[in-house]
Amino acid sequence: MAIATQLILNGIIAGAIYALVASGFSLIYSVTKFMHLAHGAVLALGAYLLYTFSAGMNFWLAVILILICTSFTGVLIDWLVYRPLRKRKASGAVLLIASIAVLILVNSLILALWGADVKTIPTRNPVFDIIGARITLIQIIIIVVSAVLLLVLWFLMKKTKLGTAMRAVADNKDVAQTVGINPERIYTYTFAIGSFLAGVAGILIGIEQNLYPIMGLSLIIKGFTGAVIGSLASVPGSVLGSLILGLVENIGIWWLPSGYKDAIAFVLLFIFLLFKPSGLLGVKVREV
Amino acid sequence: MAFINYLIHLAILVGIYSILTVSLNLAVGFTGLLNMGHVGFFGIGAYASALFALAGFPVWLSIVIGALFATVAGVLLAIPTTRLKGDYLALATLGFSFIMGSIARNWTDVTRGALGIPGIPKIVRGNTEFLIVVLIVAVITYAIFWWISRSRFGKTCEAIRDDELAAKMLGKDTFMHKIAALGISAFFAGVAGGLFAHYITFIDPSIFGLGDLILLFSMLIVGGLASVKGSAIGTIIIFLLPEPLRFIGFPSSILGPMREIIFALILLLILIYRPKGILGKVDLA
Amino acid sequence: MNKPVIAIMTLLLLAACAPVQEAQEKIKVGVIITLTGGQSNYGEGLRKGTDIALKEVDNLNVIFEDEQSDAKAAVTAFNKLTDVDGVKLIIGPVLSGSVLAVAPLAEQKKVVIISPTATAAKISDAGDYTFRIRETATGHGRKMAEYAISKGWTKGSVLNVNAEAGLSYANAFKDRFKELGGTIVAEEMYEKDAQDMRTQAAKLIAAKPEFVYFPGFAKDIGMSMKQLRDLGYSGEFITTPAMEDKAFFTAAGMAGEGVVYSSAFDPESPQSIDIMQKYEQTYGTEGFSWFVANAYDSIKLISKIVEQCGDTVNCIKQQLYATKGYVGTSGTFSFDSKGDVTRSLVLMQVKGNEFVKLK
Repeated sequence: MAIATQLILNGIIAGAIYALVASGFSLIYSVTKFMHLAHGAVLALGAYLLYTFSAGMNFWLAVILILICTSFTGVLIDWLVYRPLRKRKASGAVLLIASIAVLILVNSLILALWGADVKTIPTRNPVFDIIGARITLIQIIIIVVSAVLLLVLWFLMKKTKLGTAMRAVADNKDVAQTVGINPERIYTYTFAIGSFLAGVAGILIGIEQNLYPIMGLSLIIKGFTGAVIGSLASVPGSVLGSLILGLVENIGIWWLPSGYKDAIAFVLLFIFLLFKPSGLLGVKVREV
Repeated sequence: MAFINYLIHLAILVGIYSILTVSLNLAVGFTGLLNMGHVGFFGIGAYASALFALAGFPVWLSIVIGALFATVAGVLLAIPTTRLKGDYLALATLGFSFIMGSIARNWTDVTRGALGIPGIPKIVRGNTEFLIVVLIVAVITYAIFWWISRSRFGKTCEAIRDDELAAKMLGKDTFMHKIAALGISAFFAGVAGGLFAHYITFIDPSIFGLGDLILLFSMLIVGGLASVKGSAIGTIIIFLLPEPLRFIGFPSSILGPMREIIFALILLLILIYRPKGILGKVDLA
Repeated sequence: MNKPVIAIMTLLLLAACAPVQEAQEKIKVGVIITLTGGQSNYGEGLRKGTDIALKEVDNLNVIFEDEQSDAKAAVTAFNKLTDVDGVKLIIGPVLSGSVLAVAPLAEQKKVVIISPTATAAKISDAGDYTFRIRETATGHGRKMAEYAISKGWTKGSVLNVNAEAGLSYANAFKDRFKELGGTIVAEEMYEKDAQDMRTQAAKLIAAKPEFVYFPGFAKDIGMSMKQLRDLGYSGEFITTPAMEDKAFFTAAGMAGEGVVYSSAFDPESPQSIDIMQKYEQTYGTEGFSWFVANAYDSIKLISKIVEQCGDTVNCIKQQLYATKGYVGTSGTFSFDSKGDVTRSLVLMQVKGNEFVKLK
């Protein structure tokens, strides 16, 4: 096994996982202009629901149910928390704090309901050999799904009426309103789609890794780091940034002790926020 | 008898956290700097104080040294970040506390990494005595902040919060004010950290985690931004609120998340319905 | 869990807290174990062992606290038991890091702590009030090094958890292995509760060792083995007693087949058979491990001592130090002047999802 190939592959796998998280987050940010950190908790919810449902139900039925649940949860959060705050013209900073509060709230609920021990979702997971490195079926699926999601999102945003409306609101909410688009409805759709993506991410990540109560927190931090690196307001950018993050992390610890993996991510985040907050793809966002 | 011990324990924690809250208030409430990395200063103060004390320095001196380390960190953090806007500043400062956590976990020669630092010396033998120490420090801290809030420095900070451009037009050096605000804020957070370390006698890198962030912001916002008195009240309320839960006899595995759920809910409710908090003069907008 | 269940549980808990008629002689004893958190699987076995023993004694009033697999929580639990409940004697904590965090407090408050499981070498010097009925990791590390050499392996690697016990095992192993002429070609570490050890695994595999020695906890040992096999590693695995828990099988799947580890619990001795039978009567054939035996012995031992000493701490301490040749279900042991025990070790193996003695 070629170690270099394996590390690069590990990087791509990690990057794909982060991309799954980042894409939904980025979609929501691009339209609503604030950082919905609670996205991580919706993801975790998806994973934990899979754990509970997979014990009895048919897998695909469970998946459909979970995706409905997570989309609904995302919309619920918007209606109960963000919408009232938007009504009183709260700043992005307030929404950020509120989203952290929701993140912690849902995390704690998960902790209370499912307990603090690590859970596994048992699956059959054959291993494959690709150009000298090893990869499992689930990992392949994750990479394929992130790529597919990216294409689907692109299609949605560029070619559908809803997507155009979303881009209009993203670009300028007030002007969009004058042409008859209802921003609040668009926000609802955005949260539904974004949280649907969170559900997909939760299911796949839950199978690939193990479930632990603060997984939502850890993943959203990596997810938004990836998004910041690529470009917060651009879904393809956030996917790119996530891949880069995954690669840098996994290749970086070839030289550094493995404990530094997270440190690499945080330092990258810090540097980008300070010097290039619009990310590598440089998509700027109009201040709300 | 046992109950009194428990009350003393609670009072000590309230004392320590009230210092932490009012110091955060200077940065967030008075100067408008949304510093989400405040636990970074708390942790630096705790670690530095613990290490110096274990190296033989007198405990009170270690706490001061720890606070100075935190101050330096505060100033260094302020320099690049104060030109950032709102939520970017928040995230960058959050990133700072994560980086501190990483350093604590990886600089094992000094911090023993994930194993933590046990056996930190106490200041005084008994808890009652320690409570008195904490209360004295808290009262002094509050007096200092109250004085700051009425001073020209404090008023300028508030002007910066409300309209930085206008303040600049009036010839104020907004940059230096922001640095000073974060530095002072960090110093007292470091003091609180030192007191904490010498009370719990064991610290590990988890002190830098998000765990206390919601707690802190709940206390800050409930009490009210830019209100020194408010910070004390906010701390007391937030700490006391979940206590009745203990007596319902929930198993401790539910108790932990229950407290977090309560804090998060309170914070959300306050943000949505009464963002000024109890005594606040402004809200976060 | 839904609302009615929580409501019923709350009511039951309230009922349980209601004052009960107690015999005057019951001594309060605290038990701090990992009921939740990353190592909660051990807590289950320990609790069952405690419960089995409690059915056989009647002079103890046990108060459980959750260590939460975290040293800070252990300190809080210790403080709560000593300040609020006024106990003078505590069984626990489970994890070596937690014991080391609590030990200075035990010295200060003059409370005896006896860990049923902590194995790090540093605990020997943790204090006069700190005891354990678990042997130190040093003996285990050395034994596995000798085993490796006896199999003719000269190139080894170590993958240990970044925790006190893990480091203790790893250091003892490495020293002895090198002493006997072996070479460590790679060593990697992972954080407690980490989920992804693949990069460490990749680095290990690249060094081409003949075996990997895993000082860790049951779940992460299992996960690491699985990830190593997934990445194509075909060498041998050896490890420590910490893996003897069913959480290992859940994590490792088939990857753990054939792994050899050292243990102080000999499943073929008469006392072991005795505890295994008692366990089976109440809990069936699944889930037994040496953790059950150690917890059982802890309770029975202090019940005996408390019979003589009440809750006079000095007497308890003296009696512990004087305990020699105690025949427990976990084996026969004596406390030395440091509050440690030494035990003879056997080699065990995983065969077909069971822990059996190595033939």
